[in-house]
Amino acid sequence: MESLIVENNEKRRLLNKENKKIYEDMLMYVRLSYNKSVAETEEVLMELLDHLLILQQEGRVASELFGDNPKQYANEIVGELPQKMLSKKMIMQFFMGVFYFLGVAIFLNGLVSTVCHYGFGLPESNQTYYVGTLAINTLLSLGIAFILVYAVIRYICWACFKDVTKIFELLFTGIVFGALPFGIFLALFYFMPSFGPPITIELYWLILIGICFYLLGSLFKRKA
Amino acid sequence: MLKKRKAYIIQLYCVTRYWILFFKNFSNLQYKVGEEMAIRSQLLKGILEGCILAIISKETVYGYELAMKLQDHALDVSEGSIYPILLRLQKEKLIQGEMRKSPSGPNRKYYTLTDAGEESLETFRKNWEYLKKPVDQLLDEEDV
Repeated sequence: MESLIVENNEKRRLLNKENKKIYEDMLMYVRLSYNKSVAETEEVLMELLDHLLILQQEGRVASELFGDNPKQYANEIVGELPQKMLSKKMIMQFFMGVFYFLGVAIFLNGLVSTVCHYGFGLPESNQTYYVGTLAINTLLSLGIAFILVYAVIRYICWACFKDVTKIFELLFTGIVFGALPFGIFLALFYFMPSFGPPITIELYWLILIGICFYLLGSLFKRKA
Repeated sequence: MLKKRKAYIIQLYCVTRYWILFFKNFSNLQYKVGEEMAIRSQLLKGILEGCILAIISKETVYGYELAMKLQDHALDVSEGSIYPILLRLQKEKLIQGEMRKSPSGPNRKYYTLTDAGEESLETFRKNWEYLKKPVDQLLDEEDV
């Protein structure tokens, strides 16, 4: 599998500019169908690449292979690819994602707060958390993070085979994938009422907890 | 005043009805065209599947080779259309793909027929024989 991907990366360099663009869109689009078998996906992508390279050598154009509507063709391919089995690997990858996300979020939170306290003399050196609020906020954040990942995948699929201008892309992704979720996160932590038993911890502990979560994530990654 | 209003309402009713009918017919038309296309491409796909099975039963081939063989037999289909079909045939376990080193160097996916594939080809052959004569006769009669 790995070797197929490496081989694909190397062979792709032989494509000319036009063919490369259309093939890489195809590659992205087909690979983003995350619920399909990876082995079959890579094999059919390699077949298409080999075919395209031969066409190029013979001086023929990509539309002879992909037809006039490459997106429709990509959909046909994706539609026929076999489903991925729900494997142990996928479950491990799920937990890896969860722990990486939490780890980075807690670490950054701790780092910024600690720097604010020791560097700029903000009064509190500790923070009180309410267990109930914390649990709800964590779950909601994870939910938002997954929706965000899904939305990014959908966006990239949508942008494949299109000439999206850089300015539009910057504005759209900046607002939809940057400002909007960030605003929701802030609103969540600001407006969520406090409930459940309180815990007070020193700020620098957050950094350590963040690192622990990240290490847990790496553990899951290694098992996957 | 009241009369005017009544006339206006009737007019509005007629116009609305006209548009509703128009859209209904329009969508019907679209549906019919779509359906016809679907049936045609279904028919073609089924035949193409049979032809691909026939070629693979004779010799082991890889994708590009298969496309060329189809073209040699004057079956002028778009080259890309074989790959979705190959995927489907693999899913139905009628053919089997295997990555192998080719004589000229790079890894290629070679396809062979499975036992189920042999059976399916036999069924296709029978169905085709069964259809070919009556259809040919029918079309010839029309010419006369």
